[in-house]
Amino acid sequence: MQVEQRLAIKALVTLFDKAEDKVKEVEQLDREISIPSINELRYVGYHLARLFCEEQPEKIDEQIKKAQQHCQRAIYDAHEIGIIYMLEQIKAFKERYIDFPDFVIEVIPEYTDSLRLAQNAAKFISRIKENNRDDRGAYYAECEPHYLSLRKVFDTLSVASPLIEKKRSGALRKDKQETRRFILQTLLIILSIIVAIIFGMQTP
Amino acid sequence: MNIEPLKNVFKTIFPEQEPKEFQEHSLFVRHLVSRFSSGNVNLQLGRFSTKITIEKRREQVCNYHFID
Repeated sequence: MQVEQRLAIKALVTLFDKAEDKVKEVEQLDREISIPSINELRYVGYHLARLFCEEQPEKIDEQIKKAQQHCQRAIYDAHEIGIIYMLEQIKAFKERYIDFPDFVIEVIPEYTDSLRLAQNAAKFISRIKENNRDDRGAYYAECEPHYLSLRKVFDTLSVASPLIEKKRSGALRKDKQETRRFILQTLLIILSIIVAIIFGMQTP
Repeated sequence: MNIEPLKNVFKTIFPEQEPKEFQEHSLFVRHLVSRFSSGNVNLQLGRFSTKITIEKRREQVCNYHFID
């Protein structure tokens, strides 16, 4: 085996570590394991085993390249499922507080920018879907910034949610109190009118 | 800067102790899984995403308008 090939295998091992870490990270985030990512990692093992049996340098290069492509696809798939999960959570957040935009903006001033990031990430994964799925490994590096920026948004929304909930329940309580006060005032007015009418009828 | 509200929020999200029922349930699940299976626990418990389920989820989020 040539020196360049040894270096390429070392780089491949680093890429594999990254892919494995990402798959685990997203598994913990989504609380589900992603079968497509695991499948890609399985193929990495297949090509690694094959390359050690090859004797021709070209064949070894070919196996290294194939293994590298599977690593990249595993990283892309892991990022993609992470992005999908976070977009689902952002969607649920938006729908939950759709009637309370003031509270949301008060707690998260950058909320509009966060939604824009979500829209960009959705566009990105949608574009890859439209293109050939087998080439998705080529986008593995492009996928990471979307994942990282959405992760920040997701963490912010998770922290902000209880604060918004508190504000919302406070506003609902205040609204209930005001309604109760209004009903009481109306009843008192009606009662005083009735009393006035009764007194008016009794006096000659 | 008053960080008390933030601290309270963190305590709500990450409580020091999980509810008793949850702990018992979690322990039971782990015990059961460790007895009858080996390897990834999520996989053994049937918590996994296939290509088809991911595809459906992707379509749903991609068709959603985050900015109106």
